[in-house]
Amino acid sequence: MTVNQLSATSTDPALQVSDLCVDVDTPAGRIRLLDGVSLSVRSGERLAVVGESGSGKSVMARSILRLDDSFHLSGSIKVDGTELVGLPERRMERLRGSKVGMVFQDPLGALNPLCTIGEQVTEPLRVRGVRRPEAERAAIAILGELGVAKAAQRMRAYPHEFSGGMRQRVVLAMALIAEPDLLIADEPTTALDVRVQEQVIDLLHEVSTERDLAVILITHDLGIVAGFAERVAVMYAGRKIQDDAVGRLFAEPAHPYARGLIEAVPRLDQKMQRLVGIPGVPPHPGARPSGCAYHPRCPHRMEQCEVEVPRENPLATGGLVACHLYPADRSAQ
Amino acid sequence: MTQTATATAAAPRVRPWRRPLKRLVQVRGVDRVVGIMAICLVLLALVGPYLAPHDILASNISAASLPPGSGHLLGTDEQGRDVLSRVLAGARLSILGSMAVVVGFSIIGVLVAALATIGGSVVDEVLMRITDAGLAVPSMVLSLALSAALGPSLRSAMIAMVVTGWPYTARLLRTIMRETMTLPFVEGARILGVSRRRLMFKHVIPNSLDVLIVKWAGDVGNTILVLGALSFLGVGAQPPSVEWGAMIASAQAYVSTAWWAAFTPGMAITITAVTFGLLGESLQLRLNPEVRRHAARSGGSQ
Repeated sequence: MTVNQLSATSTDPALQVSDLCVDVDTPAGRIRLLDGVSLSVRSGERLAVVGESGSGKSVMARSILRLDDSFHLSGSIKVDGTELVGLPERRMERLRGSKVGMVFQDPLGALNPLCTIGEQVTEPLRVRGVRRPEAERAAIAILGELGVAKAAQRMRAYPHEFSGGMRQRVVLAMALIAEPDLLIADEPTTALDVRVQEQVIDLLHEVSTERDLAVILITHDLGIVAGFAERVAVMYAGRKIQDDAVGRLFAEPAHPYARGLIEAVPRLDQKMQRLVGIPGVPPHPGARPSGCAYHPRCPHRMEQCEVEVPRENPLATGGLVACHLYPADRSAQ
Repeated sequence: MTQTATATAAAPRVRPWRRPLKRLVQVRGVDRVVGIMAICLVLLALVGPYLAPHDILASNISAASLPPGSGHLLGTDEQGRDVLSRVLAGARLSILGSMAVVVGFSIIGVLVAALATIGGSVVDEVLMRITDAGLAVPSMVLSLALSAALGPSLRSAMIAMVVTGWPYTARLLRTIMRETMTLPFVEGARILGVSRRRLMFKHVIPNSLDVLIVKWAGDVGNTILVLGALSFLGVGAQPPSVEWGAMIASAQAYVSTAWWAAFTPGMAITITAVTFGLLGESLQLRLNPEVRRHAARSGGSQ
């Protein structure tokens, strides 16, 4: 392999989503859940996707793995150079787990109560034809790496014998054992208590660094985002409205919605003030406002906002924002 | 590393079934009596013919229709055969026959349900309409007709009952499997690249069968009744084979002079059907957490 090729592969993003739209058919007609989202994650990069419930975070995650047959996808999803939109289900099956891993919200539900931990952690390897002893060695190694004490003995335990935090480690081991390049964590800490949340997030951080693993963390907990991610994508009503480095986003959020989100987080390090919420509720996917979907709630709305969907423009400070307050020509100066 | 790996490989593999079994051993009260009776009945079915004190087939006209006592504990039938011996021996065909029928239609039902669950909407629709058709026809009438058409014999009756029995299991299991399919770990396994077939056999079916275990016991009780009925009506077991329903059929003509020859196999059917019915109910209470929680709330658990 030449130096050129090497550098080409290392700059290739682990995930490249371009102009992804997701539609779903309902009795009331076709509803657009995701509207032209573009996103890329480099290997080893930690991206947080934040937004209110219904903003399309989970829809995006599930679409990347093509988990719902009822979703109609258009646009492009490339994982490690392979186009997933339109890929036959057979090949998709092979790709799940080996290229993209995923962990869910509820670590108790994520484990089969009738199978031992060992059976479940080895399964991603076993379905790919790895023999049992070899798969078991790999499972013990990865469980140990993820901080499960006495991993070899615990292989024979059943899920109910594990605590919540331990179960999330097991789930993580299942997601990582086939060595994917990308891990999607869909609110992995919501069901856990605060101390365990921190452990799991630290663990994710560690794993990402050690394995050069791209991680997409989907959450609505901005407190977690600050300590974990390098970059944050903010979603609203099926669109990505801002995409910026975590420090910048928290210091000077450009989009009015992002500003509202960050101001709504209670802080311990500042003098007690009245907590500011965002007035109104997020729109239903079937009845999204025209133009910028945020305009009915936005304190800075202009006439233009009601008719024209803002395009994503680069900010002068770096990062991207989709808002008419930041037109392309001004921010490019 | 190598050491730990061998330790894992050498250790005995604990099966999940062990836990419910252990729980059953600790059962007290009525449930315990029912459980012991069910086990005794199954044992009787296995060894019954060897326990018979008299020849079950040899007729002796001079000893016909003897009342209970008199050397024959439960009397003799119209051909002078010992009723106790025949009831003990009949347990085999009645109980094991019913169990075979239940196992047969359960397998078909589970497979149909599994296919309907993963086969896509067209397969599901077709299979469920067939199932509905099966449910619409009274199963007793259909198995009567089928068994008569196949030529009256115990085998025909059993085949007919398998054919008419599976739709109930398929219907129930399809609902349960649909539910199981939505559990996070099933989706989780899919995310890890597990194929649909393996998903079904490894994750969905095992996690749906607890419902079936409960249904099995009740089904056995019910099937004993129907199998007895079919034999009684003459389309099931034929004389001289020893089956409870057939025994009642041949003894009914003499019921005014030798009631015991019909009464004893009738009682055997009743006791067996009630036992397995109650077993189903107590399993339901113990294995189905939803019902169990309800029972605990209303103070009905012991």
